[in-house]
Formats: sequence, structure tokens, C-alpha cells
Amino acid sequence: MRVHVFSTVSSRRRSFGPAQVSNLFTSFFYPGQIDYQLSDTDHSILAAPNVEQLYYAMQSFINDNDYLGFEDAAAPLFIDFVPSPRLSLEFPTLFELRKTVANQWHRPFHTVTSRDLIDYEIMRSRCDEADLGEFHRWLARVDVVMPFPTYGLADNFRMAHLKPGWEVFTFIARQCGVFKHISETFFGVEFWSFSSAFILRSDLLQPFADGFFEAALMFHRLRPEIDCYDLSFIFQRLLSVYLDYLLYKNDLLKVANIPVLHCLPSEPPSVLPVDFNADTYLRLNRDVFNAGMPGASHYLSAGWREDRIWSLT
Amino acid sequence: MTLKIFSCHHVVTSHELSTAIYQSLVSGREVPADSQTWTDIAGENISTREKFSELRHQFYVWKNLLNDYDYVGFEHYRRLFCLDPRPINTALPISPEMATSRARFALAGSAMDLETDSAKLFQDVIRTRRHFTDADHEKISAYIKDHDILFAKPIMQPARDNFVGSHSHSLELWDEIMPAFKQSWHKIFPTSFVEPPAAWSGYLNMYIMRTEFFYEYMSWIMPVLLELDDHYPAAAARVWGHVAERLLGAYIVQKTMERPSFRFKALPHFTFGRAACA
Repeated sequence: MRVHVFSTVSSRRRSFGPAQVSNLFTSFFYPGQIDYQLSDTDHSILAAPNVEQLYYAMQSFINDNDYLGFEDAAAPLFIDFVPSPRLSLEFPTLFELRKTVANQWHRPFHTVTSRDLIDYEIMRSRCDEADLGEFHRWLARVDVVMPFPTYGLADNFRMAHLKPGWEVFTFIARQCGVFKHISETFFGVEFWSFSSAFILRSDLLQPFADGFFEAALMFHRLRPEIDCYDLSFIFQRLLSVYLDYLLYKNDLLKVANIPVLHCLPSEPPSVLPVDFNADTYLRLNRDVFNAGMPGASHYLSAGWREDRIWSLT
Repeated sequence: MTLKIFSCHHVVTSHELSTAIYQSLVSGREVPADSQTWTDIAGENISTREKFSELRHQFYVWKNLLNDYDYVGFEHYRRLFCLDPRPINTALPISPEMATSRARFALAGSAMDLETDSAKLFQDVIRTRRHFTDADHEKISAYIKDHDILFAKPIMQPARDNFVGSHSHSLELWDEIMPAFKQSWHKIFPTSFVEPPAAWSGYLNMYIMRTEFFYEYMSWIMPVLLELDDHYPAAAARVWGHVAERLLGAYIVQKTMERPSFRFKALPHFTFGRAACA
């Protein structure tokens, strides 16, 4: 069993403090630090963290791993295999979190503090071979790991203010790779959110990645105004379409739904981050710009809760 | 791996199933000599205790058949799990209605209860099950083996609140009986991570479990329920079945806490109107 989970360290994650040392199955991924060796296209469109992460993994890791996983280090998958007695002793807060998750396993995310998140990273980094073995035995019984999909207000907002509209992306995507075989019904349903956090069997990931990158380059060619932040959102939507399609094609697809840890301050922020710039915020969140909303008030009212980025650094 | 999913009936049915995986099981009835349906009166049973609903069938399997299977499952005569091993390209031409249901299940994002009055769909599901090949059975077995417990779409609401919803006059009963379950719980689980009931409930007593877990679960709830039935002769119809539904959540939370790699999953199922499966 070979598995690798990429955990992207975004500016948001950095704002909680230094990321803990990676371990046997997880490595931290720092966006913008990879040489893509793309020769025939402008790769700037691929520079969205989730897309960049996938591209890097597909180039270098797909052949050597049975499973590949992706997550945002600021909202990681709750992969939890330390035996309860040890967990309760070493990480009592995480032990309580395990209880909460066991009782509310249907929730796509659980809100935690940045301290909990760092504890969780430390726990992962201290996983030993036995813990890893437990994780591998569990994963071997699964095809897809992802949070429960849920209706997301932010996603609906993004969809409503996407330019060009979703039907344009659907039209283009349906000419590419695996998406050619997917009925329009799967593109037209209400959209679900699951934060781009997932682990997928490599042989199932490959067709998605091939189809997605073919579509991404076609989006770029046909609609040059599309930028990497649009593409980041489209990535999530197309992944959702693909996973629904897999489940339709194979009723016995083994999906394990585990939550992500969503790190939020206990109260809404009353002031903007020190490096907040409204123009940058609107450039990085084009749906907010398209909706005609002021960047600062959007961030303070909704953006902070939706993990919107405000800075490139 | 040996597996049997029992389809629980209260009358002998013409839609009987007797395949490598599915088996019709009726409670408290003789079955005709040429019937393929099994009856619980063939062994130790509680078939006369009607307040136990489908727990009568479960009791029979618990007491008489457990040595035969690695996994046992239970569904209702008109509520059927959707476990279709066929690729969609095979399933679609045979039953477009089943294929449409699969799309609905896939797009639902989590387990769902698909209510339908379609007699055609009911017949399609039964016929399909009868015609599963050995390879189909192997696929279903392999899928189930990769889980410890599969169950029908649960109720994500505290068990007590939900019980009151279906037995509005029985809140006192609920409060009176819970200590007995807690006492039994601590005997079964000396290291307990949760106090029953949990923050969520099972539903319909429909599940497929690894046999060792089914044995343990039944050993926790069934002796208590039988005692309660003796103690509360005036309790409402089907009440013990409803109580049991609301205890499953605690059991699964406990097993998850014991071993984080414990695999459980809610499965989609069909609920057919009575007329559809008449």
C-alpha cells in the first residue's frame, strides 16, 4: 500500500504559525514553488493551489502510489488512527474531537481552533508504523475518501456570479476526456461543496486529471479571461461531477466520508487583516467583484468564514 | 466470506427470495412445503411478541443461524437496500427505472430513502436480485466485507427527542427503561466511550453487520427488551422495535472509539408503497 497526501500550506495556514514537520504519509506542499516544465502553454492558469497540487502530483507521484490525497493544510482531512487510550493521554482535545466526530459523523466539517489544528498536525507527525498500518488497512477497504458533500452558501454565490456561466464550462468540459462520457444531468444538479479535500485510488484519479487538464487548457484557449481562481472553483465542481458519475457507474464504489477540520476564530473579525487590500481581494475573488460588492465589507461579513484568500503572499 | 441478507416478512409472500445472498424470512407463520421462504418457527423464536416487529426475525437469526455466516443483514419486505453490482451500462437496458434510481442515489451525496409507488420498479429489483450471477454475488460480498456495519439512512437527531416524535405519550417509558440499557451496556463494554443513547439513531432496524458485532449488539439489547416486554404489557404496538432503532447509534459510536478504523456506512434504500409490492 502506497499512499501520499499533499497538504497545501496556504497563506491562511501560515497565519496560524509554522506548519509541523510532515510524516510518513503526508507532505506539505507550498504553492508557487514547483517547476512544471510546461513547454507548450502558459501555465499561469494552473497556479491555483488545488490545481497546482494536482498537477504536481500527477507529474511526479501518480505511478508510485496506490492512492493520492489532497487537502488544504488550513482545513485538513480528519485522518485519525491513533488508539484511543494513547490519544486521550497525549492529545485530550483531539480525543474529545474524535468523540464529537463519532457522534456527528455526517457533518462535512468540524470547527476547531488554530491550536487544535496545530495539535492535529503534531499528532500526525508522531504517527508511528503501527498507526500507519491501521490507516493503510482502513484505506485498503476504500476507493474514495472525502467529506460528506453539503450545500455551500459560498459555492452558490460563486456559481451565481461565475463569468462566463457554468453552462459554458460544461459545454467545453464535455468535449474532454472522461467528461465526454458523463451525461449533462451530472453537470446540472445543485452543487455540493467539499473543499477539494479528498483521497482517491490512483487508477480512478488518472482519468479525472487527464480530462480536467485537457479542459483547463481549452478554457484558457477559448476564454482567456478565465484566471486561475476561476479555475480553482471549476476544479471543485468538475471533481464533484466526476465523483457523482463514478458512483452512478459503480453502485458499489466504496466511499468513506470523513470530515475536514475547519479552523475559524471564535468570533467574527472586527478588523481586516493587516495586509488586506480590497483590490487584491476582488481580483482573487472574482465572483465578489462580479457581484459588485465592496471587498472589505464582503470579507468582514462572509469572506472570513468562507476561507476566502486576500493575499498572494 | 458467507453472507445472508434476510428480507423480513410478516406474511408469506409471493415475492420470495432465496438466493446466495438474499433470503425471505417470515415470522410466526407456517410456510407451504414448496415455499423457499424460511420461517422463524423452525427454531428458537419470539414470533408471538408482535411489539418486537422485525426484531423477531433478528432474534431467530441470533439464536439459530449465527454460526453459518460471517455477515448477516436485515431489510423489510418493502424496504430494500440498493446494492447493485452491475455496471450501469448493463443495468440501464434491463431496467431504466433502476438506473434512474441509481443516478438519484449517486447525486444525493449521502444515503437516501427513495419512496416510490412503482410496482414495476419493485418487480425489477426483485427480478434483478434473482438473476444475479455468481460474479455479482462475489462483488456484493466483497463490498460488504470492506465494511463492518452498513445500515439504512439514520436519523441525525438525539435518540430521546426522536423517540418522543414517534411515541409522544411514551416519554416516561423511555426515561424509565434507559437505565436498564445502560446497565447492560456497561456489562458488555467495561471500557465504555459513550453512554447510550447517542446523538443519533439508526432507523428501521435495517443493517448488515459482521456477525461478531451483530452477536454483541443483540447481547446488549435483546435480553433487556425481552424483560421490558414482560414488565410493560400495556406498552404501545411496535414499541420495542422503535426503541431498538434508537440504540444503534450508541453501539456504532462505541465501536468507532474502540477502533478508529471501524468501517460503517449508511446505504441508500427503496421504500415501496404497500400497493407496489402487493
